[in-house]
Amino acid sequence: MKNSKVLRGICYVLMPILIAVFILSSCYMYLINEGNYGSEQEFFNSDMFKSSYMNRIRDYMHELIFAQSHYITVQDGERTIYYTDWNNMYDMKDFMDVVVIYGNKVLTNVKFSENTDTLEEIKNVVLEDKGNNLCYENNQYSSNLENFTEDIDEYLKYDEITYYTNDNKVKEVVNIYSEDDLVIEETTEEVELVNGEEVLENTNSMANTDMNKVEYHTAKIEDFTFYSSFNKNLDKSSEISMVINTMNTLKPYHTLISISFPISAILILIMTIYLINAIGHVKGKEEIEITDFDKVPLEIIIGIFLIILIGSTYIIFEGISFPNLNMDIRCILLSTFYIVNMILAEVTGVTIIKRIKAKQFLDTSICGKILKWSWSLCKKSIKRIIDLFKKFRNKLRSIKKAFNENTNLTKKLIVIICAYIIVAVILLGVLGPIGAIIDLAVFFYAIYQVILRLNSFKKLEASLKKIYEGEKVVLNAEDFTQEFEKSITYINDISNGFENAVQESLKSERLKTELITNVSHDIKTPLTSIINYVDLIKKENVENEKVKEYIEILDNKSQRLKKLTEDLVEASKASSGNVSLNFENIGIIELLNQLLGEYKDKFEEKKLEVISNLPKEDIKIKADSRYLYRVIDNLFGNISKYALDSSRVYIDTFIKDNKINITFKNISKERLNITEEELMQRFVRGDKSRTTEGSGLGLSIAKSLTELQKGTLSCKIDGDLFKVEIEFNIA
Amino acid sequence: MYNILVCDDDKEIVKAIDIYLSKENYKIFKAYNGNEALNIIKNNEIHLVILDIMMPEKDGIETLEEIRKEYTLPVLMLSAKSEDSDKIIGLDLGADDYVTKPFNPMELIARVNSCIRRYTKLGAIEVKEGSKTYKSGDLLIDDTLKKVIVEGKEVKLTPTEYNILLFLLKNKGTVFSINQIYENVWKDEAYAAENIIAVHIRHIREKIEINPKEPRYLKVIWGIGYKIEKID
Repeated sequence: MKNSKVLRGICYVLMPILIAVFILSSCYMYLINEGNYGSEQEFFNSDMFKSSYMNRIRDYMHELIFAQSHYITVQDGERTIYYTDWNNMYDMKDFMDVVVIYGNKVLTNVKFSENTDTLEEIKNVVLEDKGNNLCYENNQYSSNLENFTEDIDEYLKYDEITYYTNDNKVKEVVNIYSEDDLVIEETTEEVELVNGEEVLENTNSMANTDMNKVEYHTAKIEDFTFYSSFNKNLDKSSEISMVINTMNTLKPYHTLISISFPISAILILIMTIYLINAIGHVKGKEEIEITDFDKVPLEIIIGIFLIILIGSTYIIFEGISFPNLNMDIRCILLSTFYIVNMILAEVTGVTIIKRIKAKQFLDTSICGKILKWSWSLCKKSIKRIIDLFKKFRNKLRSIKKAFNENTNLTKKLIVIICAYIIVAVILLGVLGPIGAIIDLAVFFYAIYQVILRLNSFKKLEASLKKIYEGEKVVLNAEDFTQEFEKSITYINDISNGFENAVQESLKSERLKTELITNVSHDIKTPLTSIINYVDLIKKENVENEKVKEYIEILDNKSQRLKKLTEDLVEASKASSGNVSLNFENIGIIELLNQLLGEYKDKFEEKKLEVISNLPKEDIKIKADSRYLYRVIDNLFGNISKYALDSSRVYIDTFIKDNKINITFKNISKERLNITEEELMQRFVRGDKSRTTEGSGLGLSIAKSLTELQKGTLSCKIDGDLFKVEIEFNIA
Repeated sequence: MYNILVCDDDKEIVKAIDIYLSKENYKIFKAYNGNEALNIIKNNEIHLVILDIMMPEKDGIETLEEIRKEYTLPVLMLSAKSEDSDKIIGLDLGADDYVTKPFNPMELIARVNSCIRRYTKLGAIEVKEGSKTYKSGDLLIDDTLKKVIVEGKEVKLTPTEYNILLFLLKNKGTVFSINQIYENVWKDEAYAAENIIAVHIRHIREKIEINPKEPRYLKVIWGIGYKIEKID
């Protein structure tokens, strides 16, 4: 049922018809119930007419009296009559007349617009007029106005309007429209009015207590009497007569209309609910069907609809009010207007519902997009504002925290500054120039105090730097302002602690070295026996080949143990700096050459080709010759032990920044699968298996000894290339 | 037959030394602490004492001091203490030599022989009048015969080695750099001398020294040069 196109189509067709029925029937019901349009008589007796009429009369009177511009004034001796062109109030002309009586002539619908600005002219108009719509007979006016005048009486009481009597008296001056409009003077004998003239205007029975009824509005000017009255016969073309006619036609079908009113209302409701549910659903599809039309910005559709609606409305109502138009043509016009607009309304409504259902309403409309965009913008800016606020709050908090943490100092400072300002102002006020001098003196004194404290800060920083650099610091409290008393104590304590820690670690390092030395002594004694007896066994005539082989192993290992213990002691001493150095000028190139001579055979044995690039002139460095020898000896030892057989060894030197740099490069026999840092550590060798000769201490000893001699030693591994660089200051 | 007293608290070491030195035709007296050693010296004619330092009751240093109060016999310290300071103390207190444990038996024997020779036959080598001889301690070069004699034994050197040693011995106590040695020996501008000299020096050292690593005569001053120690 939801997807039935037929049902939907029926709904679309029925909807305008039902709405028309509903509107018409409800109008009918309303008019019937109000009773105003049942007949002309009822209409004239209806409250609607009376209020409308009275309002217009009142407008008219008011304007006649007070307004100037478009009101025509008639000068009558000392009096001025104001009136307006009835044609300006054409909407009233259907049922309202001004009756002008002159002599025995009574005129209605006088066309005063025709330049009738003098009584003479009015007189002429009246006299020339044939007296259409006459309702004056035997000096009696039409009695059918009586009821009306009674109503007017009621109405006037209710609405409180001021009336001006012809005997120059003002009665019951209360409100006219609003108090602003008129200066009200209560119960004054004479009334000053517009142009300073007293206006004799329409008579009212209220004014004359002896007269109980308001006949009608009259004005007597000279021979004229003006009445305002109704035209009892409505113009056939007038709207009211149209309405009355229609009502009369419809009356016989009263029952049908009474029924169709609620039924149409219910049907419209049901159909609306159905359509809202069904619109957009297509058989076999879950989602709402959206056509290209539904993607056209909604504003364009609504705009077109409104333009057509307003335009056609204007045309229709202009056309309808065209007086000579045939009733049938009017009906056709109206229906066309209604149908066209209804169809447009349906189309617009359907697309709106579709869009809402497909949740595309905002996206398909320009306003929606703008709304969305501005909403996101809003959100962003709100977020930003909140962030800013948070930042600000954090800032405030940190300030507050700072205040809380340094309460005493801050409070003290605030009090001092406040006190200073107050005292300074007082001094300035009381003593004048002398006060200013005193103020300045105090100010400079304060600055001096601040500078003193800043200096203390500087000193503090300097001493901290000293501690950082490892110096011992003893601060004297007298050099600082009293605020730093605690800081000084702390710094002295830290420095002391630091010093103690250094001493402590030196001591423990020394103890360690001592321990190692002693242990090595204890190892050496049994080792001596081992070596000696192994040697003695070797000298015996051992027949057994296996025994010989084992003895050889024992000999090798005992020799290695000997070397190991010696190196251990040396490494421990070198790393703890527990050696006494005797610095002298050493020729580093000489030393290198001496050692190259020492190692020549060893290198040749392994077919190592040494390519040394040493300067001809010797270069002197400050070092201990024995320990420098140990460094180079260890490096050459390493090369002879670990370099690949039949490879080249490079020894290069260069001088830079008054430093001599010596680089030893060789190709490693084994794969170097460790890092440079690891290699520098004690007991580490290029091969982790530790089967080769050597203790693994050589490089570590060399590094320690180099550093003890104020040089640097670093090594680099690049694949199989092993590179050691040592650097010394040239003496 | 010379009498040698070996004093060490480690009996195995004493025994090992006994074995080595007996083969060299020395008579060995054994002591296991300082007091025993002093007793033996008092009651026997001892030509050399091999003395350990770290011993119970009376250690090597005290014993050495006691010995030196009465005797001039040579004392060879044999200790596991290998620090320079230990060696200096020992030598300063009157020891004639200092060998560290673990020792090379051959070195020990050589040093023992050296000490005995100097104690017993000091100046025994006769030097012919008129011949050009140069001498430092037990190192002697007879330039007329082109002979090098160390501790009474002739050492064979190559002509270059001989010239270098002769030059250094003639100027004993003076340190010469590689270039200086080259210029003086080759009488030529030093060119690419570098390690040629160093290699020769090492060879000389290996031939004339008991322990080439700790030379007694031909000393290496690392980074400066070489010299022949002046020994009276």
